[in-house]
Amino acid sequence: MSQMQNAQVVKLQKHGKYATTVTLKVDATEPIINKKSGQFINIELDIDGKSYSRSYSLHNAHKTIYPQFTVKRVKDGVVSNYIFEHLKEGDKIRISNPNGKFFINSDANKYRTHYFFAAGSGITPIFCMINDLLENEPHSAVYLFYGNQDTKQILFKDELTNNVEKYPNRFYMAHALSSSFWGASKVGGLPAFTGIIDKKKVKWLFENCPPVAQEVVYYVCGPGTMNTDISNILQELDVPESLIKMESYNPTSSVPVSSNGNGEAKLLYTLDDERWETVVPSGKTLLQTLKDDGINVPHSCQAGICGMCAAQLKKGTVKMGNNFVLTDDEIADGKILCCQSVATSPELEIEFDD
Amino acid sequence: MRNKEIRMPILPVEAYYSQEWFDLEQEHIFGKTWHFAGFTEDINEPGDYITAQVGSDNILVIKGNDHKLRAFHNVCRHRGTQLLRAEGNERKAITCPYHDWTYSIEGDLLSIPNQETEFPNLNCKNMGLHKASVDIWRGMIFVHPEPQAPSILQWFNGVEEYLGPHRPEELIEYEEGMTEHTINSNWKIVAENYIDGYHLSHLHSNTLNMYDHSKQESGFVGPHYVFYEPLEKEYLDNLENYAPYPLIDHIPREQVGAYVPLLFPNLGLGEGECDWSIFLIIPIAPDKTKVITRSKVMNASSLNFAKQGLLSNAYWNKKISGKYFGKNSDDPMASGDFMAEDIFACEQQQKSLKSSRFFVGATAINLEASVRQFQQIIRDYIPK
Repeated sequence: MSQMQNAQVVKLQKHGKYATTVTLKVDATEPIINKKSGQFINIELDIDGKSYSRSYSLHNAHKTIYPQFTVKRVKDGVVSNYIFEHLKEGDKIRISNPNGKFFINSDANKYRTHYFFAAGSGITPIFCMINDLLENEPHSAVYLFYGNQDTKQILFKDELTNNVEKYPNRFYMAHALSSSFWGASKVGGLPAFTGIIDKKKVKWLFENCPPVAQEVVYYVCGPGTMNTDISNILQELDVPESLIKMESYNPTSSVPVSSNGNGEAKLLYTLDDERWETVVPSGKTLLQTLKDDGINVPHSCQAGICGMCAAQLKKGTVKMGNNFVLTDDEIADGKILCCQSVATSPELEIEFDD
Repeated sequence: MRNKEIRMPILPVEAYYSQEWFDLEQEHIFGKTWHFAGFTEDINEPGDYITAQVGSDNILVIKGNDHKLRAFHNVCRHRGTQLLRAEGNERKAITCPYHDWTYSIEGDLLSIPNQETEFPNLNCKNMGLHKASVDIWRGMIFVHPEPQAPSILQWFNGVEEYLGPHRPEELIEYEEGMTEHTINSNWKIVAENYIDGYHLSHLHSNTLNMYDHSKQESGFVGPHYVFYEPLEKEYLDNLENYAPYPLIDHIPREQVGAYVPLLFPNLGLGEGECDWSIFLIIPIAPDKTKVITRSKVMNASSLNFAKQGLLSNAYWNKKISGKYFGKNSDDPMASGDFMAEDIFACEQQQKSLKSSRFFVGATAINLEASVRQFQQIIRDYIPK
């Protein structure tokens, strides 16, 4: 499922000192199929003899042999700075197929209102989703509140501004600039407010861009506590939790949890309709254990974001680290993310979905 | 004895006066279609609500703090009392006036007075308000009594290309355009009058003579009737001077005319060169119908309206008159008001339905085809 394939860098485009847009060409004759806009690929890069893995959202919403993504530089970030400073056209990297559970299915027959709240590089999956909706869901409207530190940091500023002109009745957006000294002003002719996206700004968006189509969906993607903050604001403004879709976008995707398990555990697992058994060392995640056993378990981000490694816990207990995918109901039903789970009981039994 | 097989010409004549037919239509047509509930600007602020009578159901539409609309059946889950009156604001919750049962804006039952002692075993989770559907189309709020109604886009699929280039959400309502009439006839007689292309040159010979009826074009898109006719030449040639109100500025000259659809089952639109109006036909009883009209015009200054009125006054005084020059000033046929003429014609037809000699002699091949097709659509909605 998450097999890696080779790709070649065919184009690099720098955005000031802040970001790089990378265009690849896959080696295989088969295009990679990004079924759902908002999904990401994993890339693997060898830097100074060490292998690094990162997830980046694709811009292309469709079948392509030229996957494209944008990487914002992160202070002390090994991969983002390597891409900015050292990656060259012609370089080879390994990529996975697109995956992730933060996506939209655009539908020409749907009549919807989509509200997006993005901050920083959280715009990358959302940029792809917005373009897909504007092109392929002609009856629906799209509104974006976009937070950045200052005007220099705004990724896709021109593309988004052009979309406002191109789709005057279907797309509108406003900026929030957290370290701007000025009061409300304009960026590219569009409203810009000072500070992070707070309740006052969300109310402003709803008042000035009320939903016309009454099937309404809300998407949030940003770093740190932004997702829970915006989700709470939306719920205070009567939005049902079930309509809010989120993806966490931390500048560096943190790799496996460091957690204290309660000693080693026997693990029974069902994969492809066959039952297997192994031993999970204390504090090691279930996914890492299976990978170390050479088992090809579905997985991708290893950070509790993509949901690829979800399994059903049939017996025993685990402790989970990050979880940006599973709902409270799913957890109550025994769903776990293997990449984030360490054993907290001596015996475990899990089952992978087909 | 009169023949029981009398048809109108498709529907049996009983369909126009029997309670049985009235009830069947309420259930199978009004209970299963989208209905006009108001303009988007009727619900401005969070907590604002309106109610709409849709057949036998009363539906309330309320705006949340997210500015999204919610629609519920306006019926308390306790003893069925109607919860909210015609319009108002309930910012935090919906409370029944009878025993103060209180519901959230999502329709969940929040509190019951004396619950511990009086309703110890009642599960509030199962006692939320019955949901209905709501959506916005062309600046109008529509409701559907079913919670999982088919999409409104699907319902109006293909209609839009036969409507005017008007953008009603940019126009503003004017008070004189708001009328309410009670008509002593079946609602279908009013609807058929609305779509009858034959009567325009006759009943309204002196009131709708600014349109060129000989060039009318009409047809059905699904169950919806669409109609267009251009302006009469003299009026068109002098449009800037003769238009009674400021012209709607976003209608290209070559598209000027009258677009007069009847969106099934009961919403007529009148989309003209300087005004845009709705004509809502509400069945009250088998022989009683309420018609509500609301109109919008350009958002121009009152000075502009006054100027345009002065410019065009003489033309209209000469152009418009009653069909008959009656002695009696309240004779609708001498009024010079096309609405009064239509109401008169509808009531006169209803009066004859029970006559021993009542019979529909023939209907016009072209100009009354719409009436036959409308009746066929009604016929198809009612189970055999």
